Amino acid sequence: VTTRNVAKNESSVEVIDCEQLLLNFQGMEDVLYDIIQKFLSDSPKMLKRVREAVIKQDSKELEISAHSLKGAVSNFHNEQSFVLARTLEQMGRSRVFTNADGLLENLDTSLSEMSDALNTLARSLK
Amino acid sequence: VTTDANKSLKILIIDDSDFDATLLSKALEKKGHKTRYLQDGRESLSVIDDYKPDLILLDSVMPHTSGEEILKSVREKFNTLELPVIMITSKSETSDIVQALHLGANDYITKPVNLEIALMRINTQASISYLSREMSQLREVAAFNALVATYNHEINNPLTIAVGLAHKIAKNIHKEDAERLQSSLCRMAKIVKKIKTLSEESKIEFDDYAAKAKMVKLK
Repeated sequence: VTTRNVAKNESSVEVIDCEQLLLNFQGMEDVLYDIIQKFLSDSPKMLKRVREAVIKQDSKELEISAHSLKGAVSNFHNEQSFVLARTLEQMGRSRVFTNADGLLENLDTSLSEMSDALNTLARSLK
Repeated sequence: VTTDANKSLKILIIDDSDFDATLLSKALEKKGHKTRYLQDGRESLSVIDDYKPDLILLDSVMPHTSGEEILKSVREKFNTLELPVIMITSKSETSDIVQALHLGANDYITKPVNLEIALMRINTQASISYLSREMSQLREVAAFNALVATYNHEINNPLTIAVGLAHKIAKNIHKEDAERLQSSLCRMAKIVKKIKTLSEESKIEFDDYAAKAKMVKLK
């Protein structure tokens, strides 16, 4: 699979930077495929941890859980999810929870879009 | 310890994020390296003793023990050439990078990890460490050979004269004493022979002697 095989009109291109992603994995498509599968399996649990931290107003846990999610998201070059996770991490660090629920919902939506795009990409890698 | 700079490396990944560690581990193994993943940094030193890695990839932000604390404890035991440590940081953590380099990190890579850059930096650090070990081994052998030459000059030659004199004395003393003297001479000859063989070795091996002392292993 090369960057040319990932059709430009597929939804994955709009949400994640496929070219950069494939370039970053240096042609190791099998590794990229495994990592996408891991993200699809892990990200709901990571988001749940962030959600619980917001509900409990646990700032330290919010900082750590959002940091982990931000790190995972950053590998797929999706700016929107990355910025939302980073904002939640900073809120945890500064112990501010203002509008955390709203940000969390936006992150949820953004991650869903990202998962759809990654599913499409994974199919093209198989 | 890896003996060839181009051989597969043993890399210890210390990162609380299972996701990031899996990514690195899969990519490194695909390139022929061996990896071990440690999520809780508090176990670092015992795992290092057990696994004996060629290089450590260390996350700077972790919940229980920070990367900085782990780096400090690693550097109390190993210098930067004995065990290279590459920090994994976020791009925004510039001050952490500077601090880590001050504390003895060999290099750093940023998240999201660019695998090409990461692999290049890992190979560079591993090569520097390998070449340094090779150089230090050569210096060790050269120093030892100088010591053996000194021994030959200062001790071995007078000892050979002493052995010759003792043989003459043995002719004029009682049989039992002559046997004892003969036995002593044989032991001295063995030591001389052992030390002579050491000068022919290209690599010096050590054995533990006491708590903080080593002795040269004689074959």
